[in-house]
Amino acid sequence: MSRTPEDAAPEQGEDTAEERGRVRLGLLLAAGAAVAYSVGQVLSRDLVTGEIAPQVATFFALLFGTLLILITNGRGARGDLGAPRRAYLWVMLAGICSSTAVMGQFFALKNAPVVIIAPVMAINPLLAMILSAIFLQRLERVTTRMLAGGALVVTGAALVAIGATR
Amino acid sequence: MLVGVLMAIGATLLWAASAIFIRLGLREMNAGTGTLISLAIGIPFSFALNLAIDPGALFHVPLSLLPALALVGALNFQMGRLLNYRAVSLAGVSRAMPVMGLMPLFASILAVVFLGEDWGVFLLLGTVAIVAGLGLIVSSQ
Repeated sequence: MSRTPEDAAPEQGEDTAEERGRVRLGLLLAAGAAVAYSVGQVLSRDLVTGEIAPQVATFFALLFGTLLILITNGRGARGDLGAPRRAYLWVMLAGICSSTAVMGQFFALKNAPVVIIAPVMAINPLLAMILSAIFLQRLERVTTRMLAGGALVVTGAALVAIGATR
Repeated sequence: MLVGVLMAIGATLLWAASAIFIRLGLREMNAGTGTLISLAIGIPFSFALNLAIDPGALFHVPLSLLPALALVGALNFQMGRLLNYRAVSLAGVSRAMPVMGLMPLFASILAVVFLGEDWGVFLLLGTVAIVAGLGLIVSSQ
């Protein structure tokens, strides 16, 4: 297993300068992920939609993405061969959940208008915070202030999503 | 329509569950490895979805589209998911996931700037709410 120091997740109760630095870096990376997803989404809409069906585009993008991550992170993955089986189980479950969610989202959009589905999907961050408060009590501390912030983010994301579909 | 809404709720629950699972898995594994495994698991799912909807469509993709699809794959999966997993691993689900809520905002801003879409009152109100919400979350460190 080659777990890097920056992968060391903050445990509940830790409040050191190092931990605060890790959290800040994590927040920056989350913003970076949001930018990457957004650019991908806009490019996909601009370059791909109209030429091929969304599920076909998703399949090929996933295939290319997997090949690219295999090229860039394949060596690191070899170092993780000794990781405990439970770690593999958790990430496999995460992959299954994500894939099933993509399919669910796809069928949701086939059965209801975007103006209804987009705000429903926007509750994801708040739901993740609630699940985190329930199932990750030993790892994370979720405060009322954070939940209020999450609710505001969800409201804002829903407003943006509604605005985009009008 | 109810079926669609229920599916959207189910998908949202699964996304949230995925973040919880990845947080647990990445305590003992690199984010890059976790991303690779989760993406590889998704390929058969996506293939099955295509077979169920229109199997022939997979074999009629214009070659000229492949570079664009590779770019979308690099942005969404190689970069987006890797950064997302690393963020969850470092900041935790409860802090990283709300920041991911910026996605529709960034997408709308990009659409306004590059695709010439309108900048409406919903986007402005949404921006204010998102920034205020993130302020609350970040300040509760």
